[in-house]
Amino acid sequence: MDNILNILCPCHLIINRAGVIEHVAPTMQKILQGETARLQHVLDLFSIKPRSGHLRGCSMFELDGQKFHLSLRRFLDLRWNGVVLRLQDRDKAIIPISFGMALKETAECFELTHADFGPSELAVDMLCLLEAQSAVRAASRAVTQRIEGAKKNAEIAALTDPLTGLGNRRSLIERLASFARQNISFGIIQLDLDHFKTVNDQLGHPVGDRVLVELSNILRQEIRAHDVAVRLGGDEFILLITGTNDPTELLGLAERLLARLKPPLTIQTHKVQLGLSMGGRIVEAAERWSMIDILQAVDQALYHSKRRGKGRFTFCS
Amino acid sequence: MFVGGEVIVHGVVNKALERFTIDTYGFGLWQKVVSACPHAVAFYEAMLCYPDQDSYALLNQLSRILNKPNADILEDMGTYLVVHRNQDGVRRLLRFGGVDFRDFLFSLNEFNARIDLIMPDLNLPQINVVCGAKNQISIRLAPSWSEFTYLCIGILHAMADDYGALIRLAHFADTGSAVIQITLVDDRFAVAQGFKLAARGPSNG
Repeated sequence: MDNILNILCPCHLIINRAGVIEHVAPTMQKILQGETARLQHVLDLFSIKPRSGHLRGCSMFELDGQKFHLSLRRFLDLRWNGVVLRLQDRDKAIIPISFGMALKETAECFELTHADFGPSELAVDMLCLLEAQSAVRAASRAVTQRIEGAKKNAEIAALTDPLTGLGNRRSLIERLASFARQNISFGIIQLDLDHFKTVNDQLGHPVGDRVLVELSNILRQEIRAHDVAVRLGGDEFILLITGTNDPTELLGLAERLLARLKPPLTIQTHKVQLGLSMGGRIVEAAERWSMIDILQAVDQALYHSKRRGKGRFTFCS
Repeated sequence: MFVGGEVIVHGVVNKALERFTIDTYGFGLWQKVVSACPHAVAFYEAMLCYPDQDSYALLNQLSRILNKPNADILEDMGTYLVVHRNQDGVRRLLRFGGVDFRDFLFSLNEFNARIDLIMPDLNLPQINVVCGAKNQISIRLAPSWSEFTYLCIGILHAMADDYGALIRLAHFADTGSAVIQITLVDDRFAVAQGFKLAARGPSNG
């Protein structure tokens, strides 16, 4: 009978009425790592937490039929489950022990193997599932992270002009919408290159593209970090000057840009003489403005600059 | 498995093929395989699903480039899944099945149910283990995916080594199913590789 008990439930103790351990099953013996448990009081080795109340003195035997938590005094963080069951001769009780939620830690800590569990126990299956689940979870987490990264890159790409790295028309719409939401004043300048078509026709599109990249770099250098430069398409650009209602700021910026483009640009081996035509206005926070109206107004101001002989800035109010 | 009339394959299959190719033959060869397949992607996601033609296209290209039959490649891949240090998870999950090789083979009856708990949409062919005379054990594989047989043969050889067992394998077709016949010559032929039920760290014991 003892032998069958050891096979069926290899982690149990048998105690007598006094609570003294009379038998230690093989798995518990392995866990105790050679420490002699026999003839020790069960409370000397284990910390026991009954379902209700406190355990006093030798009352272990009185827990008959009740479940409780227990831990080895040397491993208090491993919380196991036990129950006291009196045996037929009434003077002894068996305490079968299961590792509950501490199963994985216990198996790790005491290097348990298949042989340390009973043939009808589900512990090994549970360990297998835990390991498989954590592998699947890790794989799922990795997918989510990669998708998140790809999504961010796609969002950036959707708002960026691929040639110049400036914002595109979509980013302009987003920025204007955000100014409207935050109710702030700003300056807006639309600009385009004079004689750009001639550059493309005479020197070819690759040189034209280099010109656009050069101009983008100049725009980036002349605006502040929180201002925005956008390429609408072709050689048309828009600058948004955040948080200003001062026309002289726009005039200053326009003059700096005209000065930068006065000397010819060196593109590969070519000297390219270009000019800028610009139109701009201030949009007051208190104003009731629409995106279409604003873009139309600066476009007309730009057109005005072109008509008056190019290479200049027109401010419209 | 069928989704909207299209046969799909769980990403772990493609992922395994990808890892096997890269770890065995190098990233350059995998790039060659991928660029020869019109719908292939450079990296597969183990948790997503793909059309099954993708998997066959990858396998066929790999076979063409290596000049090796599909069956041999799948057998190598089965071995790889068990023995390669980048894949310790597979060996461990299989070792949970039993204390020795015979025990392990018997546990394969529960294999599909286990997989269902972990990846319900993986849908591997049903495995049925039949113990015959003395040391004869046969594994019958449902006919849904014939290439699976070769993958199993690779895995079984590698697991026998892992348990220290000496086996002989034969396989044949029987009324549509594939049958792998295992003769357990000596189940304690060599010392088994270590295995702990719970291991600290990603690959241990």
